[in-house]
Amino acid sequence: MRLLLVEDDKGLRDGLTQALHGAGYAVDTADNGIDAEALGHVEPYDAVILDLGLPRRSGLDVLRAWRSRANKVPVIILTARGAWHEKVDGFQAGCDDYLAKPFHVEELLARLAALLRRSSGQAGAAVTVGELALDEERQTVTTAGGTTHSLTGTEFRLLRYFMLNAGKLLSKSRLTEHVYEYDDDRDSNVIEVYVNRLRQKLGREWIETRRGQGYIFRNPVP
Amino acid sequence: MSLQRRLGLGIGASLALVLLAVWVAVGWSTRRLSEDYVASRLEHDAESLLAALTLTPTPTLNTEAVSAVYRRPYSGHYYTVATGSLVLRSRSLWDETLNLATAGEARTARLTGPRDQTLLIYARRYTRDGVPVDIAVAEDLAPMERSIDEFQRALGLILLVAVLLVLAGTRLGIRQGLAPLDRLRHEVDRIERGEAAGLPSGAPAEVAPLVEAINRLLRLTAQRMARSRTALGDLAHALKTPLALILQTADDPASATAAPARARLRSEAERIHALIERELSRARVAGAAGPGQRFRPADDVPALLEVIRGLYADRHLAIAQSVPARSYAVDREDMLELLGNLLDNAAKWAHGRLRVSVADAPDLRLCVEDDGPGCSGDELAQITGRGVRLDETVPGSGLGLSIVRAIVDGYGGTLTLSRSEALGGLRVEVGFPAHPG
Repeated sequence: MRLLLVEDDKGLRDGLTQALHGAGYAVDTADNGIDAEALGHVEPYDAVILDLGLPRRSGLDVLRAWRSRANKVPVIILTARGAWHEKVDGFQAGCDDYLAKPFHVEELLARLAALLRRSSGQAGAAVTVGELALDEERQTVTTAGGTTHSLTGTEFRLLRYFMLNAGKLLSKSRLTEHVYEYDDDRDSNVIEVYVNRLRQKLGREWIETRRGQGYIFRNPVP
Repeated sequence: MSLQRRLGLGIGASLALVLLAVWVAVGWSTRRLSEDYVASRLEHDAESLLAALTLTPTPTLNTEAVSAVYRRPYSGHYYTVATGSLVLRSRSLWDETLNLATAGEARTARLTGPRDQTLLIYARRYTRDGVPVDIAVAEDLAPMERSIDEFQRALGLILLVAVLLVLAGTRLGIRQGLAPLDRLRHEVDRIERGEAAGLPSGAPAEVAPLVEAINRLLRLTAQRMARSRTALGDLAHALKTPLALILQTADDPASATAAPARARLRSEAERIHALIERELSRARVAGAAGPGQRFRPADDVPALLEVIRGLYADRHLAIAQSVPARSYAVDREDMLELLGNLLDNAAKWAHGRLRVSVADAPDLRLCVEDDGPGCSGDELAQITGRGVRLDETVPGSGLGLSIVRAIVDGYGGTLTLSRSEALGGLRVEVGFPAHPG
């Protein structure tokens, strides 16, 4: 899952980036409204964490600009403006969740995970596909037999993206875009390596290869 | 004393005085003119009598030559002609005499004649062929005075009507002249109710400076209020980002700071946050709707419910609403803050159903109900106290209610907590005193 974090306070931005990395997200950051809007238009983010009091362009304007171009990326507003009429403004501008500062990092992570699950059509409090259950906090996966496998950071990110987009044909480049950050060295061949590692842990049948097109993650026992 | 009465009294009194003087003067001069006219007629009659007089052999009057009115008894027209010891009297005198001392010089006088008639008498000594002839001619003034009196009565009536008309006209004029002030008062009422931000221009020249002064004052007040609100808000909001950073440090288990110190840091940061929120919301409570927006439940409540549904997206809350279409003269932001906190609280506790209703019967009443566990009687009494938290495990529940309380107090409203009949959980009802409009 690749996120855009828009926050002008450097201390908070760095701290949050670290916490989000820790939770297995790829994070791009922007510290002003203009850059944020441009990034949001171009990059295929899975979610955006948006501060409202931004230099150069207010967060609400950025959000409205995205929505007016039918960009439906899930957005959590993270702002010091916590009055209810401001929340109303935020939701009317098109945000999906709203968290007032100061906040606990766990709450942000919980809300972010819930938002991603909702936006991929997953109901409930955990990401599941068939018998497969992903524990986002511990970054582990439990298979049908009840065996729990721990996952490395990249494995976790890749598997979560697969599980939240189950049944869809995902190209290597799309997987790269959503698993890695903007600045990372993107080598799509690395994806093959991680897909193989996941197959070893889950079983080959979960991830189908479409030659020249990409991968489909699906429940082998429908 | 009203302006209208003061102006009316002044104009009425001076007008009545002037018209009274006119009435007296007209009466006097009419009387005077009429008497002069009668006197000159009498003089002519005297000269006719002199012409009709034959001295030799005995003084006789050719009565055919004088007017017939002198021959009708007590007709009110009389004469006496005296020459030497002989006195010729008009037949109209019958057996009365005119008591007149003829003094030679021509003169007019009033005297009481036969049958108590008020006579104007003209007497003059003429000389005819060396013989002195005293002629006196008199006429009853009563018929003339009667018509003068009648005229004066009619004049008096006309003048009285004129005074009344002028008074009524003045009253109307004043009322119309003061109408802009009355409209101004209605406009000020509208500002108070929050329906207008300022007074409309286009008042008459006399009132325009007042309108402008009031508008200036309103702008100044609004600016000052906005400035102090903004300054306080900016400070509070600026404090929140560093506070978030402190909390983040306190939350970070990988931090080098020891766990007890982090717990302390966290609790103090939360206390600062609570203080900021409380002061912020207190500053936000505007009281009666100033230049702010009016509360329109039909628009604002659904928008607020969108927020609640968004914030509790995983809970699939069923929220029923009943709101009227009209708007209220209370600040929209205050009402959103109030209802937001109540709904937030209800959503935290509810199992799945909420109900929000806005009604005016006759006051504005906001009511939020849930199907949660509700509260016991003791808790209900305690919960309305400032910042009391009943359950520390549900964050923010105490602060929300203290903000609600601050807003309710700001409007002089009432806060009632009870058990919801319909849903079984807590029912919070807020009532605001009747607001015009």
